[in-house]
Amino acid sequence: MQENNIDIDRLVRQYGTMVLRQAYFYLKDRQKAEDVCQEVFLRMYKKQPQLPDEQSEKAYLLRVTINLCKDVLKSAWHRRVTPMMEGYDAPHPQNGPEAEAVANEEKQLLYDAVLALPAIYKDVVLLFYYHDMPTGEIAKVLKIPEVTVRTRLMRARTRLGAALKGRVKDEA
Amino acid sequence: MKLEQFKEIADDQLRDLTVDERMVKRIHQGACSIHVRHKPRVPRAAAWCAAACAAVMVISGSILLQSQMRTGNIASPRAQKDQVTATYALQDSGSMSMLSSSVATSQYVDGTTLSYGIERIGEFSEGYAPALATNGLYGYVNEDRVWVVRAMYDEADEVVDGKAVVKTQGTTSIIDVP
Repeated sequence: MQENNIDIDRLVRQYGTMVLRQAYFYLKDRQKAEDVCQEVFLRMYKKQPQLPDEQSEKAYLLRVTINLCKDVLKSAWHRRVTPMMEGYDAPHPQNGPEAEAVANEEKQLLYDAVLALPAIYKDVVLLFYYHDMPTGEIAKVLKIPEVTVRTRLMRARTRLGAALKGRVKDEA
Repeated sequence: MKLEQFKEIADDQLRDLTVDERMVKRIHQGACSIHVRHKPRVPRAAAWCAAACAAVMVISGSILLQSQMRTGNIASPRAQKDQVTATYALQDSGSMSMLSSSVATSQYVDGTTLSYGIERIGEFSEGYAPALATNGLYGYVNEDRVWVVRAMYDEADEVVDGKAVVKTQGTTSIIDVP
């Protein structure tokens, strides 16, 4: 389907998984992440923003996803209704031999620690380390100064280091 | 353990979390409904006239400011009976929204009078349309501009098969209309 400059099918196929996972990082619930994912693309289709290149498309989609997730987290409904088995649908790595199990446990600790960060730190960590965005681009997505992005990244690393101290071999 | 490994770890954790054909279809269908909903439903002559004259409209040889016109010349079946005067705005999509009307706009379907009026009416389907109330919330009105669902939603979609999708405080629900 295409209207004006928006080819919704291409966008969904190209960025759908990125948007879905980004939403999951915040909501930790597959169903809610899928709802947000759908809403993100429909908003884009309604607004028909002028996005000249793939970098702009990615930045726009991530910004809308983050904002929508925060709206969901702020809503009274979300605060009142918690999943019966939180994390149930989150896939877990296979357990192997003991050494591998320890390594997997360390990975799980790092993953959980990042997702447990306060939103302002999680925003920058996810965009920097998961989406490989430079700090200048992150500043545009979050609409904050670049220096603030760097400060938040530094503080996020400090927090993660403190949270993981003594629990993993080589702190974040 | 380095933070640089987070991407690899997260991709491994979420390897089953991908957009599948079901999601693609779901989003595609949503976009199709938007596409249909945004089609202008006013007569071409009225839309052309509004676009050409911007805020000034020429109806039946007389010039009326602020797009004020007799709805009998435009779309409303009720207006043809009652000669109701209303003010319309032309939206970017080409559709027309009623801004105000000379009919009572605070009337609820059971005959009671509500504390708010109609600020803007969306597009009708199945005899009902989402309407923005003067309290800033959305409800539904019938073709007589009478409230059939009280204005209490942040967003309201068009009626399909007697049901409508509404949103309040970030929560999406399906309600019966009326």
